[in-house]
Amino acid sequence: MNIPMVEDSELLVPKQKYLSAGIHVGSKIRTKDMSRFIYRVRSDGLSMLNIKKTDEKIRVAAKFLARFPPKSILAVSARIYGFKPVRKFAEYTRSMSITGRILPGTLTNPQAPLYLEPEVVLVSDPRVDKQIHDEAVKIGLPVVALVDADNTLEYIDLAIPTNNKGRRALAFIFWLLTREVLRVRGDLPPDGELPEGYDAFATRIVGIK
Amino acid sequence: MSERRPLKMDLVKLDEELYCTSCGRRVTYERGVVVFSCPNCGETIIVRCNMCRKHSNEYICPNCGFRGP
Repeated sequence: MNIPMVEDSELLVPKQKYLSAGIHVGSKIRTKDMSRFIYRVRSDGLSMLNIKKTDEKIRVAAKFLARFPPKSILAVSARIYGFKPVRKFAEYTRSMSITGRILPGTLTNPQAPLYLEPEVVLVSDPRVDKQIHDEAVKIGLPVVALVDADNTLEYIDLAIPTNNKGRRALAFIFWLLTREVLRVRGDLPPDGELPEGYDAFATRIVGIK
Repeated sequence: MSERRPLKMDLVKLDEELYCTSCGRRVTYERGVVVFSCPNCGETIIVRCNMCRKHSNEYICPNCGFRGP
């Protein structure tokens, strides 16, 4: 069994949705910090993340992010598959976003062309988004991060264990986080849904001829 | 040039002594220290010192028992 026995009623979305997006599939490399979120290791070496803990952390992260003013949340992704999910998250929650390369000094240099003053930072992968993570640590901002089995929890204040490399996984996790933040804020009713499904958050792959 | 405003003025006062929620040691406004309200209940102030954040030490909210990160 790749996932713990949980009822659909205990989760934010049915278990099958989590599985089809592949958010429970972690990497082959495991760190000690992440061992508390790993349910089991598959025979091919892949770590299976505990979706119950992912679910709990999304609820907590949504409550945490909803307490900040919308314009003081900064969502960041330097990973290509995270561009569209982060932009969609920022669009729905009216927060700030940076996709792609981070200009050094964005948070620390007031004379930088793109100087921002957020109060909380949401990173899609602390290893890939190292520049913004370091700057957030330097000025004392809380960091919320999507972490995989190969990440450490160094300088992370709230970790959401998930697959942070897959196209569909990133789309799903940001879609779910967006929905929960809007529900906690009261922009959506408690059982309300976003106008778009999580496929709209996914980066499209354009074929090369 | 705009000056960066002092961080977390709404959560703690500048002359207030801060103690790390994880290790209990007194912390100063040094690099790497963070102050935020509990992610779960939002009623308690969580303080994390530089070393506890670096070593990813667990913090426990005294009010709701939430364990982070």
